[in-house]
Order: sequence, then C-alpha cells, then structure tokens
Amino acid sequence: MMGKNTQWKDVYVQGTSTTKWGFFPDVSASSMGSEAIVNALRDARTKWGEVEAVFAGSVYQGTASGHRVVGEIGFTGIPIVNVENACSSGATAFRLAYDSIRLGQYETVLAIGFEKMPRGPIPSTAFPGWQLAMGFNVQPANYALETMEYMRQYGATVEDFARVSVKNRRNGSLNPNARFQKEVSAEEVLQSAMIASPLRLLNCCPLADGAVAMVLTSKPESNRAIHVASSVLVSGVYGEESYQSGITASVQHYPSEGIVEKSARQAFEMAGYGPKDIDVVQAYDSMGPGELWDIEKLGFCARGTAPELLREGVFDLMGRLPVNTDGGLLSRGHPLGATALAQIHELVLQLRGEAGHRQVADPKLGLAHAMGAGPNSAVTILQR
Amino acid sequence: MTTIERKTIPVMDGLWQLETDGKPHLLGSRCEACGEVFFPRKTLNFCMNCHKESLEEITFSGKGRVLMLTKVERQPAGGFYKGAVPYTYGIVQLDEGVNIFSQLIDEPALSNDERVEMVVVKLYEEEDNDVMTFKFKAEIIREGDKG
Ligand SMILES: [Zn+2]
Repeated sequence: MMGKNTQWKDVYVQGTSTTKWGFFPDVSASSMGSEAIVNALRDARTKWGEVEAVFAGSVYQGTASGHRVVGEIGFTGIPIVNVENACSSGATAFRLAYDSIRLGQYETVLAIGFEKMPRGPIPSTAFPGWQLAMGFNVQPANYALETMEYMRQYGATVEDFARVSVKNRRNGSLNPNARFQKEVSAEEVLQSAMIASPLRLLNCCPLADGAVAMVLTSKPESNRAIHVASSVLVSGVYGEESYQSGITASVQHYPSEGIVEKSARQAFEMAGYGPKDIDVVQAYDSMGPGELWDIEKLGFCARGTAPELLREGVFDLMGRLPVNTDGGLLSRGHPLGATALAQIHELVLQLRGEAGHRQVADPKLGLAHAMGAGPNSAVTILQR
Repeated sequence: MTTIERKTIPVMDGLWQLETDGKPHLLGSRCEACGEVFFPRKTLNFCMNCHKESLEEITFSGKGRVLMLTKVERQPAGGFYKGAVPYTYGIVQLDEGVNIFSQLIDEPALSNDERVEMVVVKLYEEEDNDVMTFKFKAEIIREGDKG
C-alpha cells in the first residue's frame, strides 16, 4: 500500500498563493478563494484551461462552497470536489490532489483551502450534543488536559509554553500575511488572560479568515517546482480518541502507535527519508504546548526533550531545525479549512528560497503537520 | 399563588440510572470477548476494540480517580453550554478501567490522582425543568467503610 510503485507519477507543486490572514468583514469566502486561485495560476504560469480538477477544502462555508469559488473564475466542465475534514481540510484536499496526479488520473490540478470564520455561535458536529451541553467542547480546555499530562510526565513548565509563543510571534513579525505581525514577550504571555489553566490567551491561536491555492502537476515547468515526497492522512486509531491524542478513552487497550506517530512514520516511509533529513518544519501549534509534543511525536527528538531544545534555540529561524517559520497558527491565525494548506505554502516558499526576511538557510526537505477534530493527522513532506 | 412543580430531567437519557442501593450509577458497556469497557453505553452491539458483537450492559461503581483537571474560565463558544462558568473539567479514570471526561466539583480543591465519586447535580435550569448532569467530587471515606 505504502512505499514506491514505479507506475506512479512524481508530483510537484508548480505554483502557490495565499491571501492575507485576518478579519475581512467586507470580503466573501468565495472571493478570497478565487483571488488565491488566480494568483496561484499566475505563480505557476498555468492557464485556467489546463486545470483538470479542483479539490476545495473548507469547514464552515456550506454546501458546494468550492463551486462558488470556481464559479467566480469560470466553470470549464472539470470536477470540483468539496472537502471537509475539520482543521486538516486543506491537507486532505492536497492529499486528494496529490493522489489524482500520482495515480495518473490527471496532469494538473488545483488544491485550495478557504475559510471565513462564522461570527457568533459556531455549531460543532465533532462532539455529540450532550457533550456540548456539558461544556466538553472547549478546545483550550482539552489541550489544557493534555498539557497537564505533558507537564506531569516530562516536567515542562508554563515558561516553556510561553517560549513557543515568543518564537512564533517573532517569526510572524516577519510574515506580511500573518494576522499578528507584532512580537510578544514571555512576560506578556504569562500575564495574558487565563482561558483554561494552564493555558492563557497568548498560548492559543487566534481565528482568522483566509485562503490558499496551489497548482499541482506531474509536468514541472521550472526549477521553482517543488517535489511532493509524500502526503499522508491518518484518521483516528482506536484507544486514542481525544482531540489532540495522548488521552485515551480506554486504559485496557492502549494503542501501540498514536495517530501523529503513525502518520509521521507513513510519511517518512513513503518519502524514503527520516526525521534527520528534514530541514524545516511547520508543526501544529493551535495551542503553544502542542507544538512541543508535536515535534517529539513526529520523531524529531525524544519525548520530553523539545522544551530544552527550544530553550537552546534549535527551533529558531537560524537554528538547526526551524519550526513554524511563518509564525505558525499562533501568528498567522487559524481559518480552519485553509490552515493546513498555509503550512504547505510556507514550505514551498522556504524550499524555493522565496521566504524573504524569514528565509532559513538552504533547506532541501520540509515537513508540515496538521491535526484536526475527528481526529485527523495529516503529514506532508516536500523536497526541493 | 400557584406553585409550579419543577421537574428534573437528565442532560441526556441513558447516561445513568438509579440502582437498588438508591444511588445513581453511570451506565456502560463491556465486551465479553476482550474485556473492553465503554462509556456511555453503546446502543450498537459492536466492540470498537475487537470488532465482535459481544457487548453487555454494565453499571459503574461511580468511583475512580482524577487523571487531570483544568478550570475553564470562559463561556464555551456556540451557546450550547448553559451551566455555570468557570467550571472544573477533567478526566476521571473509573475503577472499572475507562477514562471519561467530566465536570468536577472542586470544593474542596481536587488534585491529580485524588479519589472521586460520581454525583448527579443540577447543570442549569430551563423553564420548569432542572437539567441534571453527572459530576465527580472528592470521595468521602466514612469510618465504617474502612477495613
Ligand atoms: Zn471486544
């Protein structure tokens, strides 16, 4: 199932584009999506008529929302597939686009993720009604429980978690598309409002509107094309049912491999590379502490050691393994359906050497990881 | 002056029931094949662990220990939660071997690993109803229970 098949095509990201991220009350989701598509086509030097299929990820945009995006550019008779997979919707659209080319169905397709976050009550279908009524669907609270467990097992501290926000907001200050382009200090993080102990406001990513589009092809036209080494989605393993994993539903049958570890292993096997080969990482930092255990579960260091490596600067832009070079969810903001594609977008820029003031030194391989309610874990590895 | 009879209703049917000891007990399912335990009770007879159709209904003792807890300081988004804020929320490991999410009564303050027991209390009021939920509070060890 995994591994190499000589019949399969090599897949490349030929072009990519993102909108700015923030709150745009006067801009519709479909116009953000269509803007991203037109700019991605321009970046790829691909004509709209060459695109053979569109995979469109979003969470809150309703029925056939990808068709509305494409409709603003002009229908050409190609299939449009709408993808909803919570916070991994963008990565899932990417995975479907990748597979459609790899398996030889198409030569050139588009993956897009777009989101305009609803104002006011947000209906969650990822939790049953009685759990909503009992207050179980607060993501910072569920992350807080895993954070408490992480602190208990490995001695991590709130200062460690504050350093994640400080690093990512510093990176975000160099990203003209981020929602927050202002640095924060550890003191500001530690004094921000408590949301669910020990998580404070500045440990939690902000919501945002935004869209990302990408042209994938088996016929790369320039050295700006970036090879897709692997794209993997794992949706749940039994016994590890809570949102960001680590907390088991059962203590009798604990899974031998968690969802993040499984998706990372499959992605590395498929790519033919290991964690030591990766030069730049976009980890899932919807809550700051999550970035630390994410780095560990993806295999970049032993469990419990990420806080120390963070203190040593290993994950800084100029460090040995830069993580969340665009500021991550903490700076960029979190438009659910678009987030995971934004991570891949940043990898493409880094691997092309087009990341401006936040460019890391000569990266050849990059990895992006997105979690999502369900749960989902999506890993994408790109190669220059 | 008329007195309106207030009714108590559960936040969801089938989470717990009164047993012969006069106390409410959580309801669950147990797999006869692999021993896995589920909460809440599964209406579909299919074990998620071993994939056999061998589930039986069980009642939990209502006792366990706190695995971890947090205090939620903000009103949950979406308008579905009508209970008090802030509230203490965490994971309880029931003695029967399953971890469940629950609100906890944190007075006196609870800590990790502390023994807790289940109680049924009011979550919120709506019109003429008191909507009830299970929560966990510190287990009180009575003298007569020892030894
Ligand atoms: Zn079973």
